[in-house]
Amino acid sequence: MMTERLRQIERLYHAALEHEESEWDTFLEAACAGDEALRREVESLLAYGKRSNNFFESPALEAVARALAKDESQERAGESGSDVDRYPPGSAISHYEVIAHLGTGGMGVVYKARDTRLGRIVALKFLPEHFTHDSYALSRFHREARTASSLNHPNICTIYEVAEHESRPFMVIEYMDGQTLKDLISGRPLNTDRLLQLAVEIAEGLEAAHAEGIIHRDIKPTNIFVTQRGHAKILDFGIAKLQIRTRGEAGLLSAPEDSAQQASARSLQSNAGDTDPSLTVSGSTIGTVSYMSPEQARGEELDARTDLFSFGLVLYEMATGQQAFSGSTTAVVFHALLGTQPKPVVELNPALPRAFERIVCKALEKDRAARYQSATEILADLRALKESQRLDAGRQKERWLSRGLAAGVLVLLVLGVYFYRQQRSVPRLTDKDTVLLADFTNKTGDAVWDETLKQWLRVELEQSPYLNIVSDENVNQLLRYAGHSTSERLTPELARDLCQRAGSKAMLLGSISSIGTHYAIELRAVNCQNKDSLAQEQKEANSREEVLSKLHDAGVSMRNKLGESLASIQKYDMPVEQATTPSLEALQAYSAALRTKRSRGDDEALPLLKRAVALDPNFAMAHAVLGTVYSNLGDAALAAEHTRKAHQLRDQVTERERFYIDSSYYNMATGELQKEIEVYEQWQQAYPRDRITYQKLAYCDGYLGQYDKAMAGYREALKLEPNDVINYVDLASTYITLNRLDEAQAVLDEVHTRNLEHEYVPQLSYLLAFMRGDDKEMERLVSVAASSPGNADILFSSQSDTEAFHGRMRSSREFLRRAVDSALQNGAKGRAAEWEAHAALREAEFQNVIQAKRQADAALRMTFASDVQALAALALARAGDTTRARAIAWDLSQRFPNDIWLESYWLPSIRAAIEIERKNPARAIQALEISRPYELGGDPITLDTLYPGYIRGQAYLMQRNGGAAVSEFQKILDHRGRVANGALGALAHLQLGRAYALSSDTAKARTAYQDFQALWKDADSDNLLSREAAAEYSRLR
Amino acid sequence: MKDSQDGPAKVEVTQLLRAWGEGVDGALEQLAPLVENELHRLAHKYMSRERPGQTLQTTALVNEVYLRLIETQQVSWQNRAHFFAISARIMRRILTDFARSRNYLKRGGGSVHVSWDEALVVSAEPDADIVAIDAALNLLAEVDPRKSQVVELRFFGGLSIEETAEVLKISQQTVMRDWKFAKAWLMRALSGEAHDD
Repeated sequence: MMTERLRQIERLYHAALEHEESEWDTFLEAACAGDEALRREVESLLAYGKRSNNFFESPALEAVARALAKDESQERAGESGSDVDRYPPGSAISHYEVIAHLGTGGMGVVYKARDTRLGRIVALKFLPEHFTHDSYALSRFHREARTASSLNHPNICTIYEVAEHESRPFMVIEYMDGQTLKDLISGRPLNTDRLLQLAVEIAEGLEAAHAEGIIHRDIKPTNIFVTQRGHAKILDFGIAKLQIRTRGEAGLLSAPEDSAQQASARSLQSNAGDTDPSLTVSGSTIGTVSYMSPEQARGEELDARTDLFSFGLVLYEMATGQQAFSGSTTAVVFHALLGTQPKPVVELNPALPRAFERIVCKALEKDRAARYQSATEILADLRALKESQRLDAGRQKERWLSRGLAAGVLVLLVLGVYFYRQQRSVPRLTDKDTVLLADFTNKTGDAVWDETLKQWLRVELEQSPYLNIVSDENVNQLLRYAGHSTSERLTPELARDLCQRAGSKAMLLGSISSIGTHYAIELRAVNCQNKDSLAQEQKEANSREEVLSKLHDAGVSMRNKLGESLASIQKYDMPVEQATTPSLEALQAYSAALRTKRSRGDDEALPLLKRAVALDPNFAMAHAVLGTVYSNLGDAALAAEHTRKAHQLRDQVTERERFYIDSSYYNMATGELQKEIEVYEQWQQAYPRDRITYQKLAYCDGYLGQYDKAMAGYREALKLEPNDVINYVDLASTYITLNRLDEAQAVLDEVHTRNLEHEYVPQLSYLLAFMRGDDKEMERLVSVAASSPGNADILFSSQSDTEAFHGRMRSSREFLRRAVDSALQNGAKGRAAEWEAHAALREAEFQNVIQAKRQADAALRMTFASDVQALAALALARAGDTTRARAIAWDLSQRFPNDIWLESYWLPSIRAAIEIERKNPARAIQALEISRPYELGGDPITLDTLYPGYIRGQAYLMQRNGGAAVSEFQKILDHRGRVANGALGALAHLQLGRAYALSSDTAKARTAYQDFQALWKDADSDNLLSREAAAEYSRLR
Repeated sequence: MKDSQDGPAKVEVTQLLRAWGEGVDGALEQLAPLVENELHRLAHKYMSRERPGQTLQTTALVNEVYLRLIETQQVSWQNRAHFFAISARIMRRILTDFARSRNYLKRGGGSVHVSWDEALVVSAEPDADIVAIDAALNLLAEVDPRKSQVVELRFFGGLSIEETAEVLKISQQTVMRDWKFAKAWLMRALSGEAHDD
């Protein structure tokens, strides 16, 4: 709702407008009475207001129609600028084959392409048309690009060559996965380690370029790319110089006192054929001027030091999340740039070391003679700082030692060495050591302390990157190993046994006792091999309420005694009562929920978690875990809701919990895969021993179809935690996807040897048996599942798939019925919906339109989960109900505007399916373009993979382009493991036959039809598709 | 639901709008193609008339479209305000949806970013980014619903100051003030600059 503040701003805004513009300053000065924030706010709105005169003056309908007209005329004329279709996928440009159009912007068009000679993937960058009409600019471009292409450095994006195609010059550059530094920063400071690592890399890149005499002249966060592996690459050496020159020559930068109005009015036309190569500079160029050096802004001759100033601005932004110089107009920015000092970085980000402040200040010296004189100089400072940070984090004690040295006091030095040795001789923990938490010994007789204290202590200790606490999941596994129930209490004796089994160095014992309202808390760290006491801490609380804060104190002191540096403790010191909940009862329910979840599963933990959030609606972690539980139970809608709630409350959690919440949020609430990956990367940096980050990153890699990376990640995670079943599940399914069956078998064998369990293990065994054609084993697995309650529905659905794969629809529907009933019986409504939607799509493919619509409806009635809705919408589209498919797709795009999987897989498939229904194959193919990089990826256990390729193949069939259709359907058959027993695996044979028939390759067509008929030899006699195939086959000869 | 060259029957559109206003399923999906058809027709007019350096008198064209789409006489007087509000809302949804689908086609996929200096727009008149405007308008609605409505009626509904005042039952003076402030606010929101309200 409208705040009083906004009302105040609005009143002043209108009042100012009643004055002449020249009087605004005086007026606001008086009216805001020293409230600087208010004044800035009104000023900025006034500045935008001046520019908004023509804004919105024509109705939206007109604006959209105009944009459409522009698009279409460009498409027709093949004009450059945004010539998306100029080189469609498959076109040959010199010896490059275009794979996809990546982007279009003011600086031209970029395509992803394959170098057919070297086989590598590259990006092709074409300059905008207007450059090509300017011979001076063109020769300059060639010269610059050639110079830049001589740069070969890991932190500079490589330019492979400069070439010409149809008399348009283009650059062949390194193709990279990742994001720009700007996106990485996105308004938040980077953590110091990451900041320094990237800073050193960027400086290394600059040093290399400057050594070749090449100046960048446009260093800014959008020109620095951070790869998925986390390395910095500087983009656009050479081309940047060209831009600046044209701007400079147009004399645009010579009048810094220009008002905003003039600046925005200075839009320069650059029609094709126009010999003036100037580019538009308007108020919106601020992003660019914000990174200029003062000498650049004044239009003076430049040398390498200009890059160092811009680099200083980039450092500033990485460190603070804010631009050093920003403003609503060019003039304001220039004014700040030339005459003011930015706010000190340390003020905006107190976590930064002082030395960093000095580096930034020296880089931002306005007089270049006072600045760093070379990239080598700043690089040396950054490296030294990085090294000292590393040492700092390592040993606080060593810092004392060096202080002693600096003081030059020999006695201190000797003492220092003595203490240092003393300290080292204590058997402290190393980074390989793990610590096991025992249950608290509760001598108070008040059951409320039974579980809560341990839970609190866990939160307290887990925020430390130094201590490696054995996870609950592991304790669970250890208990099972040792033949105990997973709900067993960890008494000191049992804890010691598990601690030894786990090879942990230490265990932590806690106890609480009371006399009246007075409480005593004791923590003791014990070497579980020899029972030596490692550290001990006692605290007393004078009331029940004080217990928490005393426990926090005891925990902090324990961390210190076990060897964690003060710096680290200060950095990760969220007080535990804030980090969890002030409600003892809520925490009790939460602790019980976690224990129940581990020992008896998600469904039994659910009521306890609900109770925890009912008792304390602001209990962030309870919401987050509730979200995970709902997700595991297949209720994506409630999962999203609680995850979102947790995210709103994320200020109240520890650093580590925040990573958990953020990643869940991007995973379950928004589907922003890229952001999710970033969270894991930051998490991994802060807590490098958390295996979950390796596992999750691997999962994301697999999702993006990068299976080699994914497998490496799973193996890394397994090294850290060989008993985590989910890693085996993901690894095995990746092997199946890649059709590497023996390796998949080996992984599953390992799961059995280790006595691990997971609901999807039987399904993986089943799929493996399917891939090997082992009908007996499949049958066995289904009957085992049928006789054990819980997750039988998964295998029923798999069997339903297999039946459909062979055209036996009656049997398939029977199994589907059992899958849905069984899922509903077990309360897994989400999965029931998934099975229905999945079957609906298959029915649509088999042309059983009515059945398909009915099942899609059934699925939609059961859930709001986005993936199931998408699946159902696709089924509807395939069954001809384009109106509803469209409506659902529209709704999904509104609700999940950033969900990468919807955006790049489901929605394009649905749109393409609609276009196919409308007999519009060209538009279908176009709609699917966006899917190309993703269509081989997806959730390892997901259903209905490879759809974009299938629909694309169908579109090619409609266009009577047999050759292209052959390659799409062949691709499906080449990825047998991906499609497994999905219907497309059988249908692709039939479609391949059709495609070959179109290409008049009768022999291959016959083989393909025969393959299909072999798979469908036992198909139901009334199967429409089966009959159709037979008829087509007979017409072949 | 295929439409002829001459465009949809006004009565049909009017009824669909009403149906949508009353929450009837499917009305939106039936309306969208009709509007899109008009969009294409309008775009082709621009293309055929466009000459370098000549500003088009477009308002007349757009008004014509609204008239073609909506039979205002069909709507009884007391319902006019409600009806205009619905028309503006649905126009917003359809146009945003349409723009978004075009963007999908244009954008290309992938997590790959190649440096684009988006500030250096070659065209003198940048396209209005309807999708971004829609999002910004949602933000505005959170802090000041009435201003958001004013913009929706004016920009998406094509209503005049007078008509907007009539629909919202506020003075024309207030509409003008709201309109002015909302434009500045939205323009700033679209520029991505942070602000603290």
